[in-house]
Amino acid sequence: MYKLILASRYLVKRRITYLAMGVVALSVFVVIVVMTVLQGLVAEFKQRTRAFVGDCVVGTDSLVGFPYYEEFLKVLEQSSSVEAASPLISTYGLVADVTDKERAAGLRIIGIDPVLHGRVTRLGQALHFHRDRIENAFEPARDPNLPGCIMGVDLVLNRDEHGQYDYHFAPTGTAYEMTCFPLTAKGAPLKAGAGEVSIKRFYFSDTAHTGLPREDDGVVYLPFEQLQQLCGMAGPIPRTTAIYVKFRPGVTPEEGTHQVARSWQDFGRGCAGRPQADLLQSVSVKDWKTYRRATIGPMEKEELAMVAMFILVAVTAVFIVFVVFYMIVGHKSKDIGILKSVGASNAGIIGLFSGFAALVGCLGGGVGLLGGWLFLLKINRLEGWLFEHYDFQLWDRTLFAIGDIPNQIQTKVVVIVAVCAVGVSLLGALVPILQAARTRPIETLQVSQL
Amino acid sequence: MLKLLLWLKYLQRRKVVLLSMAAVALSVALLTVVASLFTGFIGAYEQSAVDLIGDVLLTSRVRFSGYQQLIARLEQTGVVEAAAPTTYAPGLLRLGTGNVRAVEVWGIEPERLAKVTSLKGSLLRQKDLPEAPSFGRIDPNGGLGGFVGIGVLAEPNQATDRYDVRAVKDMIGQRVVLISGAIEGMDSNAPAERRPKRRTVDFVISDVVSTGNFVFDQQSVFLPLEGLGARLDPGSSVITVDRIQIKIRPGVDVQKAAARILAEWQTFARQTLHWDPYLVAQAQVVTARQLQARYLEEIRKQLGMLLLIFGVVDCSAVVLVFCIFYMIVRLKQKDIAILKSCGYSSGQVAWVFLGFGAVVGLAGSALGTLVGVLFTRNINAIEDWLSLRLGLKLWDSSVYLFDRIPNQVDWVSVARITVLATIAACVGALAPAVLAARTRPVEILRYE
Repeated sequence: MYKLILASRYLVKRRITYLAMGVVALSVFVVIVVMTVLQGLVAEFKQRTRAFVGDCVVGTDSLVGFPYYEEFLKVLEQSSSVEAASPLISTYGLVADVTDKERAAGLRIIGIDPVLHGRVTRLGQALHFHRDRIENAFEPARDPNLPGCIMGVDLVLNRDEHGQYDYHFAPTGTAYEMTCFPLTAKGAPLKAGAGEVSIKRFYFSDTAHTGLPREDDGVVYLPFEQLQQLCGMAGPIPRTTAIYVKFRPGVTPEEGTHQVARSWQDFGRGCAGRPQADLLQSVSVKDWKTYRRATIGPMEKEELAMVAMFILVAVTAVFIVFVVFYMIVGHKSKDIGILKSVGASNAGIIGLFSGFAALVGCLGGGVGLLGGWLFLLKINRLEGWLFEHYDFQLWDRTLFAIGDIPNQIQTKVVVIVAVCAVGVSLLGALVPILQAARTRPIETLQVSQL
Repeated sequence: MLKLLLWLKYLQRRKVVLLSMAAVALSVALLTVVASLFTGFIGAYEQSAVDLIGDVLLTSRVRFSGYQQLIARLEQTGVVEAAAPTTYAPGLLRLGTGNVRAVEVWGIEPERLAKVTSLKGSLLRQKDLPEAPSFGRIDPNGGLGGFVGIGVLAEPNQATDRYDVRAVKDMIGQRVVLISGAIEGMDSNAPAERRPKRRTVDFVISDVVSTGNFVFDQQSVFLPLEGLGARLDPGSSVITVDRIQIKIRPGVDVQKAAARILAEWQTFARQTLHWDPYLVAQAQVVTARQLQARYLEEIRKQLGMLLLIFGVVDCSAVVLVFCIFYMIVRLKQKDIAILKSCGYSSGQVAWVFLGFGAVVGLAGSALGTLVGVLFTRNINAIEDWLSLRLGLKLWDSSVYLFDRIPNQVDWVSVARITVLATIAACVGALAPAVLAARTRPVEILRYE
């Protein structure tokens, strides 16, 4: 009991303790705000990526693609872990507004079956005019019987300063001429020397806003069969470049990918000796995270680098707690002497000051967390006010595909930060606590000292 | 002299002061590294644009002929050192069976472009040759030679982020096929008659381009301007271009030079090309730095935010200095009282501690600067070590564009940070110094 009373008393009477608490609170505040925003951005990006690719990708980097995908789709359909699978063609071509053909742009063209793709990914929610009606995604408003195309939203619309698009300016009715270069299974130009390309006119049917900058600013979606024709992948042995897979609930991407990879190996062995079977060798099976490692990995590393920097910052907080406790222990040597002389053990003294340090950590951490939570609660409003009055935005929304600043505090982060706050206090107080425990009553209570 | 002695004595006896010095050093080192890395990245990004494009870029919406005349006019202005015509087309490059990549094709005159950009230094085979770069005569059949970006031919090693240069050099001499498109019937007034046509261009890789800019190296193919034009538009005997890359003479203001170039272009387009004002106005003359300006502005903003965040947290160093000095003042009250009884004024006593705070700030800043500079200078070696020993590859050229971390120390920021850190240490020492100045010898030195 005396530990609690004395710890509370020191806390109230030794005002220098407030400094230690203040520093812990400041550190916790900054860490919680920065980590929440950073983690929110990373989590949002991961979420968007997974919504775009599903759980697993069976694919090749080669634009030639691979054959026998229809047979493998049947294998996947029979798998207990697979909920849906969708073939996809990813290629490059020239895209030009028919009224301005000279300004053709080289873009990535993706061919999908909207219904199948909608089962695997969340493309349906990325559409504007056919939101959650992905089966009609390629039906242009001008005439549903015309061939339609979905344009990455940033290709046809500009973001305003709040990161919003004005869909009134969507190019409904615009026709685009898609020019593809059909390739044979060996990667040679089809009909080489004839000077011909595959050209087809498609009419704007919708925009896709996936939230992924590279996709929204550089991808055009076409119906799967039509793109297959355009890039020479149709024919007696049709080819595709990837199969996106979604697993059943309860199947983790790692487990499911492992199973699909095994199925693919068996399938590949079974295809040995068949025409174009060599193209199957370039196909890999990756879970969504590995597939997009190039973009996700760096963000995770940046998070790690930020944590490392905050660890350095925490060193200063440890120093401050040390100095404050060193002073308090120095001033309270007589208290310690009296406590020991009335029977308090070394462990009791350690308990007293450890409790005091933990209290400093808890209160400092609590204040920091509360401040961080309040700040995060208002962070978007604050940014709006700054933008309105001082034209300042944390991120230029016309440049970056970021919506609101993420402000959802993760329980995991709160727990880790709170534990770290108490840990920093205890670590800083460790040496003074041991010094207090080693105090000998005979030295502190002798008359000359009094 | 007495102050100096006291400072040395406090430093020697009260080891806790070293903690405040360490805290200041830590803060200064952290801020130095952050500021230098960001500023270095911004500088490298700007320089990369100048190295790849030149100082100024003139782009026209419509391709134009007679570019030699325009270049001659530009060179007569006195502000242009060199100018090179280029043209762009998207395409697919077939490197081998089933190996087809999307690329950006640039039609260039290598000798001219080398005067404007750092093209020569980035060619693996020709960079050390004395003569100007050329597409050469590697192909015995007299076909086209072309330069291909190193990233088009190979992927960097995932662990080291380095290309296998030897393997890539072995690909020089290999025959590849480029597939691109051209619009036929551009002269026709009826848009319906304008049709894209596929063009295939066989060429031999005569050199490999390694600029250190990941995106550029991964998608660029260079072909002779004339050869590319002839193959993309076989019916035309006139070579057309859609951009002029320009290097400005040293000492000339790039912005003013850009304005002059724009004026020359407008005159040229009106008088020589007989273009209507609308078409003339469609052309843009921008400096390489302007092209990057918006993105770099955002990077600068992020730097500012990071410095603000760490600056706020580093305020705890002020608190630490305060705590330690407060402790020293409380412990050294008798010293202070003796000083005062010997005739020291309150101001002089305060100065002892303020000066001591400044010494702590300066020493901490010096140490922090040293650590920060050493860390920044050796950051590539540190990153390599982390990558090899822990498998933690923090810097990836595919993300951060460059294959090496910019490691130039931003001395302007270092100077600012050092001054601020010293002031912060003085602020931390201020309250204890005032407390010391208010000490009354009669209360401290009385017998009881």
